[in-house]
Amino acid sequence: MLGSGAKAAKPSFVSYISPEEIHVKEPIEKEVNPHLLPGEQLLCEASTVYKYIQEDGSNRGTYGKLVCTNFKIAFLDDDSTSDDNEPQFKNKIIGENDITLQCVDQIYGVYDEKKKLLTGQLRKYPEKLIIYCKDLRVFNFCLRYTKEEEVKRIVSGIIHHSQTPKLLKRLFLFSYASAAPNNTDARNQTVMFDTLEDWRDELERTKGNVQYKAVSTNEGYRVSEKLPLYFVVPICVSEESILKYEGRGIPIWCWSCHNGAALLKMSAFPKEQDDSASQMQKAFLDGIYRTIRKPPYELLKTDDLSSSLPSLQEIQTAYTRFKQLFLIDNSTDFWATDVKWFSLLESTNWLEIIRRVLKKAIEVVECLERQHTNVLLIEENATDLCCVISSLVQVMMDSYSRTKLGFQSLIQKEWVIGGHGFLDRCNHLHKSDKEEAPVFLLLLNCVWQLVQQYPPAFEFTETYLTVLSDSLYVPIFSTFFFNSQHQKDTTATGESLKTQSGPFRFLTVWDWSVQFDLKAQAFLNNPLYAEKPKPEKSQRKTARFKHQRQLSLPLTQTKSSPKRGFFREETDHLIKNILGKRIGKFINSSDEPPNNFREFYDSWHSKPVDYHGLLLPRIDGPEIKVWAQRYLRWIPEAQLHGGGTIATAAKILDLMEEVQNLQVKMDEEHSQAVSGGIHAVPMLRNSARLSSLFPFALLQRQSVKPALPTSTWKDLEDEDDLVKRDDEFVDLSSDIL
Amino acid sequence: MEFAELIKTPRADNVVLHRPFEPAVEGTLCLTGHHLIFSSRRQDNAEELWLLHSNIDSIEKRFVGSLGTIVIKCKDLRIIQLDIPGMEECLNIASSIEALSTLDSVTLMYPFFYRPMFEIVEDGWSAFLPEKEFEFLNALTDEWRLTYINKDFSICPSYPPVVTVPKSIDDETLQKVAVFRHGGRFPVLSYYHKKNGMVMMRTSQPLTGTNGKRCKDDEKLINSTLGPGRRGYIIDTRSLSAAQQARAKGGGFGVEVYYPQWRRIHKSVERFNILQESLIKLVEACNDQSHNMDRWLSKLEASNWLTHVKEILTAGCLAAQCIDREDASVLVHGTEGTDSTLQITSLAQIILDPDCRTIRGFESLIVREWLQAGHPFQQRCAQSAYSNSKQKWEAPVFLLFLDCVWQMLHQFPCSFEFNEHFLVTLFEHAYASQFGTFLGNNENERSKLKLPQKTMSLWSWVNQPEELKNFKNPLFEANSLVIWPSVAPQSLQLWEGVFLRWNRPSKFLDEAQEEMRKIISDNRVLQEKVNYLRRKVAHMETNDEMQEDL
Repeated sequence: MLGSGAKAAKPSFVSYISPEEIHVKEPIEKEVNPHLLPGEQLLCEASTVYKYIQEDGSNRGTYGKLVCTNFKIAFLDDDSTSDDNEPQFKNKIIGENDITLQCVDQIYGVYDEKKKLLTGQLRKYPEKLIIYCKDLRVFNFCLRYTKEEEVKRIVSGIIHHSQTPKLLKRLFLFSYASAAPNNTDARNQTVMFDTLEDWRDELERTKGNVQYKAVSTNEGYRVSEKLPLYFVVPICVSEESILKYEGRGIPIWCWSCHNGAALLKMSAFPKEQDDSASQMQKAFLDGIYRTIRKPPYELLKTDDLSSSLPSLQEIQTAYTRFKQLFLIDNSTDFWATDVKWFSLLESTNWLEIIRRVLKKAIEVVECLERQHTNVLLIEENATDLCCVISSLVQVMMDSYSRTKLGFQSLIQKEWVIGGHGFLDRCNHLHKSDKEEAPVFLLLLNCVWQLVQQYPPAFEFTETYLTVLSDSLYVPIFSTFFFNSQHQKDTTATGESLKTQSGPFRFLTVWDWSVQFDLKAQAFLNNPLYAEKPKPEKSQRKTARFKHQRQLSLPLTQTKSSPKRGFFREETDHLIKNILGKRIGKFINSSDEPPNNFREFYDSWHSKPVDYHGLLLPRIDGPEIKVWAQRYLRWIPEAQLHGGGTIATAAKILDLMEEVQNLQVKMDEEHSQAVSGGIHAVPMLRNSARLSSLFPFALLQRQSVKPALPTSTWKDLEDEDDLVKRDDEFVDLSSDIL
Repeated sequence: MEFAELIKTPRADNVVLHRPFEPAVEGTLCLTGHHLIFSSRRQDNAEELWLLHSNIDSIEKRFVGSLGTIVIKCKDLRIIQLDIPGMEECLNIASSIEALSTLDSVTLMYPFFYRPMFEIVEDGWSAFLPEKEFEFLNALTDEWRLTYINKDFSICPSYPPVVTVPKSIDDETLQKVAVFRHGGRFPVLSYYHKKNGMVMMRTSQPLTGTNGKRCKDDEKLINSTLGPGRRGYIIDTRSLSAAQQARAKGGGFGVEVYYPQWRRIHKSVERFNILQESLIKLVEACNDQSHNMDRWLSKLEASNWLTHVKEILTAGCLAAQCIDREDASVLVHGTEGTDSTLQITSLAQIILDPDCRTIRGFESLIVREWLQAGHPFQQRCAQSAYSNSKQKWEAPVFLLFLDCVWQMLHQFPCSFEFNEHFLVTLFEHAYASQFGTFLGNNENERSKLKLPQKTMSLWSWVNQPEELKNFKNPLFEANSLVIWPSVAPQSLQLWEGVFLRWNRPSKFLDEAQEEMRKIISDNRVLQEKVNYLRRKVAHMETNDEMQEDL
């Protein structure tokens, strides 16, 4: 994809040659038209824009057209005909030079070598535009050769459409849904949790139906707009009590563990000034707690996440600092972070937050698994950290959540239907920066830690998690573009009434065929996933598993002694705290001997891993890693040609394919019947030709050459004949043979 | 001297052994001349610990009443604790261990007493002779020759008897060049790059001194290796200022005027106590058992270990890049030319030469570029991370090299024939071993000690088919390309197999390894079966054809 001119510049240090000299023959005005989706409209465009190849700080790049539509910003390469190298992993919706408006993080303009953040109205137009994306790509556009009129139009257009507040109904989602009526809806197997049946099935699956019931009290959103239409509460909670405080103070069921202990979440009451009102709330809570207390699951532990975990503000700050480490303008910047990499990493606090969240999840698991205690998570709205913790607990404890469908259903249950405010947290509409917090990304980062520690336990790959995180910014799926089910339902009907086409039917992100063809989808599946053994076998396994646990864990007193008074004595205290300020240090883990947790953690880690049983992440400092694929994928300096984990993966896939083929052959031998060609995993025969950034970077683009810190060459400053040539791929095998 | 004199209490009962991640065991402790042996005597020698005294890096003792506790910290970074009842026994045992683990005389070391229980198929001492290596080179180019000028180690005490030099340079000239180079280490061939005929040579600093002395013969030798119009790079492993300072002590660097086709690059690589301190800090951070692991990353960074790994790897890449990408020859030197120089020349070869990524090739590389090239193993590996002696000559130079190789292995998991276990084994044996390979500081000392006659070579043991299979990488797929590792800090990892090895339970890793070996051997059996059946089918087909023809 190099501009042809770049190659002509081979003989000397390319950086000394300005683009004019390189591209004398260009630009040829060629009509390159953007590929538009249904409902997508071209808003403004500029031609003769020069896009730098972000590689070595040189001025190499290509000319093309920069366009802005109501869906994306796109750069159209004048040379785009050279599509002979179709990548194996390609997003059908977002091309490699496309940035959806929601994916734009920040835009900087360069004026006389100085970078300036661009937000609202501009008086002067920059000569260079740097776009930082939320998926961590960085685009450098030079506007020096563009007509002034076009510069004005494109720059203000891009800023207006990507950086200024927007109305919900202006989201591309709606134009797309009305222009492309979705009839593929069909048999998506992910459980959406938008019907009563889905909840009943989930209760049955987890054997939670003895203690809990699915209710339809909120039909028509008469209880609360924040709650979903259907949800699950303890069997003894009456309809009236649900109605009482708009659903606040009602423990909502998330999941039941194999021993019957359940994970519940609850939104806290707002701080009440009025004394009598708080008395009433207290009595109400008292009643609620009493009802969950029924034997044999009389124990209940509450955990106020807003005090035991970092605040959303802290999470946002940490992530902002963290991502900055990867949004790199050029390789000089990259090597500059070199010396202080680890302290920079640590100072962002992001990895520490991941560690704390994982630790909290293990604490909850310990209560459920070992102490057979119900756990109630409390948070202001129960839609942020509650979602993170409850999802993590389920991923750790329920092997179903580690399958692709199971994980997707889990995200539906806890996040989409559970009412996580994606719209606000991702700041899709640029309404308020204060609400922004990467809560869902935090979950994906935590799950990634588990995936990389126990790859065979997951049906999906890290690539799956990466593309899922990218999908947060693709506004053709409704999944991540509403704050609640209520908002989706009302907006959808409201908007469609105007267009008189019946309610919108949005696409869901779980239909991966929208973004990827079959070949590319194969990269989302983990070939090494340890399939679940036969049901009866697995039961035996869990039984043995429990047995093992008892052997090594001296049964603690917790099981019998607190039966008498745990709840009674604590209740008053608890309620006092819930109705007033934050619960503070009350009953979070520090309340009990800390080695309780440690003992559980250590003892689990001293046993063999059952990939279908409980899974606990290792959380000591050295174990928490940077999600390299997501964060380093666009940085050429971190690339290895013919190396990286992909080399191992490719090798294993090759073997798998071979085994599959042999299996087919054997079956043929046995049955004599010719089976239809099996769907083999697409593979890449020679792992030596793959780059470690695969599937996110193309080999063809970069030359095979060592990436060395630029400082190395500083000693040779006057040596401009020491060329950094773009080398062809040299195959030494011929020399050796 | 008799070992018995040093062992006042050869045996103690009711000793309790504590090891990380394993339950404490009670049993009997025995001291022999070379080993500390612990046996629980429960059943079939179930709990046995055999620890070489030479593996012990430091020992601490403390008492609670009459119960003594000895903490033993090993050179392979393991820490064990022994509770010994009886104050006198404990004191005796502690002092014996201290004495036995710091024996002065090399000839008292275990390799001189070790009698192998296996049959030697191939003697490792003669497996990698320079003459054999030279044959391969001679098939490619006739510009080099072997010289026996150092056969009695008189020209250069740290060089082997045989080295490769330019054919056009006679022994007389070499003799003069040796005088001009630190320690007599005149420039010798280290690597010949088949693809473009470029070479890598190594040497030590020239003794230019403050008044810029020059040596015409040295210039002649170095310049003769470049053809007309060719270019070369001299990679100095010191910073420019360090190289300038070296002049005051009689050393220095070559002046460009006299070496017109050569350009000098200063690529500073740390040495000696800075590396040793870095190792000590790193191991301290890794052993920090506070469960929060607060500030783990800052501690990791403060140790600077990964920075050293990066610097060394970068220098290796630079040398490789000059050769492969710039079509230039390279001459590497620092001060003595026995440490950082060897790190760089050997890493560059691993990057460039696929042969060095095989087990056999890597062994040959270690022999050529480390043992024969005169890396002072005995001095450098006298103590490891728990040392408190602070001797200038102790430094984890070899461990850093292995770490760099591991980084490449980690980055290119399919391109190496050997696995991580192989590198860890080399690390262990460099510090304490039953084999004589890493004893002595150079070939001169080794021949005086008569190591080939009196001790067993590590390679004799490693290269047995039975052992070799433990060191094989199942993912290996011969990669004939040059591999360019990434030296970005984001790509470099802590070598957990060494530094966190004793801080996490290894049982399951071992089981996984075992399972892997089983799969590999199953596969081989099946492969043989397939081949047999194929042959049979082919045979039957030809029979059929013959019958049809009839």
